[in-house]
Amino acid sequence: MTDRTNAGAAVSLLARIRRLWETLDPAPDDLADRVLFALELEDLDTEFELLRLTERTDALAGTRAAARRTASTVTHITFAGENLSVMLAVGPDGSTPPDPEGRRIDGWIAPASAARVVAHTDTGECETTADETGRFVLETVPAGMLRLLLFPRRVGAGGSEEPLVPFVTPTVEV
Amino acid sequence: MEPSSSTGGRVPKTPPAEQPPAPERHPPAPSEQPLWQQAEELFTAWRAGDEVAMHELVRTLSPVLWHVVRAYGLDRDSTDDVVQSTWLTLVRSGASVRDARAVLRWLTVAARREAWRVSQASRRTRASDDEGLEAVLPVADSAEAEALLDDEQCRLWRLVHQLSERCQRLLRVVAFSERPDYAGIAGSLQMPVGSIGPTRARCLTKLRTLIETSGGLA
Repeated sequence: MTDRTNAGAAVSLLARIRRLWETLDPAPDDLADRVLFALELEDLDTEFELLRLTERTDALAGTRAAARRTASTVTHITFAGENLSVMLAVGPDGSTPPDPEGRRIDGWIAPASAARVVAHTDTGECETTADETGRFVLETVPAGMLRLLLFPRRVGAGGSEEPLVPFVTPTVEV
Repeated sequence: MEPSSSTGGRVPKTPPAEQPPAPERHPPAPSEQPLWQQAEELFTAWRAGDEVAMHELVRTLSPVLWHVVRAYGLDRDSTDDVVQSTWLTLVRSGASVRDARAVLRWLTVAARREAWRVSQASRRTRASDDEGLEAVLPVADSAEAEALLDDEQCRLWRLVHQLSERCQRLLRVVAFSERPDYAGIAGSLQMPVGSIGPTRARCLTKLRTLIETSGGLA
């Protein structure tokens, strides 16, 4: 690779390799949408600690899980940071009759901590609170992109409350 | 936004023009502005306060980062996650990227580091988990892969698979992260074309030897 001819051949071969992978394993069309959704948060003034996705299990194992996603499917998603993790069980929407485009989310914050929980979705925000056991429920969120903002607080013996560093999950599809 | 003298350079995801069958002697004509240069302009514009430029940068480079991260064997969900956190890191530390010309490289290096870290962590936790292994393969088997490819691509695919895992990974990373810029970078920044790096050059040479001994691609 020391002269122009070789460089040209290398560029041309790399272009072929690129097309190979673009055919075999294309980036999802909505990848950039999720990135931009995640970046919106940077416009806010608060500094958040970003959690990482550590596990995602779709209850219907196997290749048809996505296609056969039914009202009985529950997806487990775990996020973790240095000092805190959040587990989510995403199931059918909690309203009656259930909305097929809605999801119910049961969440657990560990170690257990009271927190304000804000869900950002494609269509807006909804909010709930986690009790001192760290448990929270979002009865109905629209299917699609989801990101959770967690504002945990330490509740002192005398009932005093001290806010801790807030956390944000990466954006996931539910 | 700085004035852009070129036309068509800003169009994201423009598929590269079809190569003539055997032009191995000449670098392909630059049908568009090199990626690093598009990235530089958009990043500079964003730092000057143009929010839309960041959107365009994300749309242009996220697919590149996807391939860079997937090359490390991460599953699709983890890849999504790494791509997101790479962008967040850039936005948070944008000021620390001293040379806007290096923003493409900054992003791909950050994505590679994180991909490597995540791949090592998941290797530890599921060393014997078949499902984990399967999840990283883009297609279930080679028959399925070959059904998606034309004849020439099929031949290339089989030859690429004869390389070591490390070479396969490096070539995928190089093919996306530094495209098609050897010629461009070498020309405009006076860097030696050989700066591809000795290991990558060796992998590329191995692949070319395989192609030659198999009678060529097209």
